[in-house]
Formats: sequence, structure tokens, C-alpha cells
Amino acid sequence: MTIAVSTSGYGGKTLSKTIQVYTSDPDHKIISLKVSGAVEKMVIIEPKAIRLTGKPSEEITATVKVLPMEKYPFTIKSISVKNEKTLGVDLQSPEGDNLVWNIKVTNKQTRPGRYFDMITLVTDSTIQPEIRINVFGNILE
Amino acid sequence: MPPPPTGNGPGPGLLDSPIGRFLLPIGGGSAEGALTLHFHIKNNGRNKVNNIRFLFFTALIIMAFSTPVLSLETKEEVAVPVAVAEVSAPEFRFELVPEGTKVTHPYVIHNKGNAPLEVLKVKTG
Repeated sequence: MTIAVSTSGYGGKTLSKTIQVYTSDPDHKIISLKVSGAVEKMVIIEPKAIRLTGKPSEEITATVKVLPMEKYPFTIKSISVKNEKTLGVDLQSPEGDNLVWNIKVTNKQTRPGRYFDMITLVTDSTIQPEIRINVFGNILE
Repeated sequence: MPPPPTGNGPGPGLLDSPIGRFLLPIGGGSAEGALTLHFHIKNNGRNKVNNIRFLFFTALIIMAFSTPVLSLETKEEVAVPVAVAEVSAPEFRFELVPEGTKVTHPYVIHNKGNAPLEVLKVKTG
């Protein structure tokens, strides 16, 4: 029996998972298997999730910083959002010695209400070829 | 308790009882070493009732002694094959990995029993 565990979201933490196997052995009806280990951060994303709140008449924007860790360098090849009618994104590449990628996120929705969207970054990293950033919008009346 | 045999009584090895007369082989018994009982029923109605009682209790004693033997035999017959699961290393700790890495590990579950071992369900948490 082979188990596979994704370490996404566990950067800087210890991952611990338990697998329960139910068998026909009357004395060992449940066998517990455990997998654990430390997960290293590959990238710092600040903030981890974006919240866009404001009135439709206002410009509602936010900036996200993406900093690859020195040990695991990568470049962002492309950026996309789930719903382009709701959200606009502008990716700014690092300049000079600065390794930070800046993403300017702009709200496009004019109708009052809440929405959820997701930004997807495609990288050249073999470890993490995709990075996802959640966006929560709240357009007021 | 019947009186012991005497010279004036029923004779050597003979026991008189309210329900009849017994012949007990004294000093070696029969050639095969088995206990032999000769039973003479006195011919009246009361003794017939006692005789039935005697036979009933004798049968009861035989059944009581034979029951454990029968039980043991039954237990041997109902021994069914069972699966016995054994995992040599149920815990796995991986080395430091970067976030996003997919960690895989094989766990081997051995069946030490004599019946097929089935994995009925796997739950993760």
C-alpha cells in the first residue's frame, strides 16, 4: 500500500497525517499508519489571501508580494484569474537585486455583493509549478 | 448405603439394596478388569419405581461425564482460519522537503494468518 501526501500549504510547518486501514483481521480491525515530517517554505506570499472591499464607485486594488526563497529560486511564467470580468491582475517582475514579484490586483465587479476568485501563477519550478492565491471580494452598496 | 457383604448375607461380592442385588467382582473382578453388575430386580411394584429411578440417575451421571469430552471435540471442529495482519513499520518520518513536494511512501502489510487478508476501507485524516 503506497500513500502520497501533498505538502502544499505546510511551508514552515510540520506535516502529520494518519491513515486508518480497516482489515478483515478480527484482532486488528483498524491499523493506523502515520506519516510526518518538516516542510520548508519555498516562497513567501504576502498577504496569503487578498480581500477587496469597497464601493463600486471607488478603485478597489491590492498588491501581493511573491518572494521565492533563495534555496528554491523560480520565475513566474504566466498569471491568470478564474473570472476576468471580476478581477484584473498586473504582474511586475523583480528589478535589480530585488527578488520580489509584485502583483497588482484590481476589482472589476460593479454589482454589490460578495465573490470569490483565484489567481494562478505558473512557475518554472519543478517542485511547485503552480501557485494559487485566493481573492475575496466584497462590493458594498 | 447397603450393608457390607457378610457370610450370612447374599455372599461374597454380593450387595443387597432396596432396589435389587448387585454382584461386584472383588479382588480383580472380571478377566478384562471391567466392572460387572448383575442386577436382580425384586418383583414388586415399589421396586420397579426404584429401578427406574436408579437407571435414570445412572444415565444422568454418564451424560455428565461425557459432556466435557464432547465439548472439546466440538471446539476443535469449529476452529476456522483467520487472517492476521502485521505491519513492520507503521510510522514514516520524512526528511525536510520544500513545500509543494509530493511525498510518497510504501507501507507493507503482511498476512501471518491462514485466511486471505482483506483491506475493507482506508480512511485518511
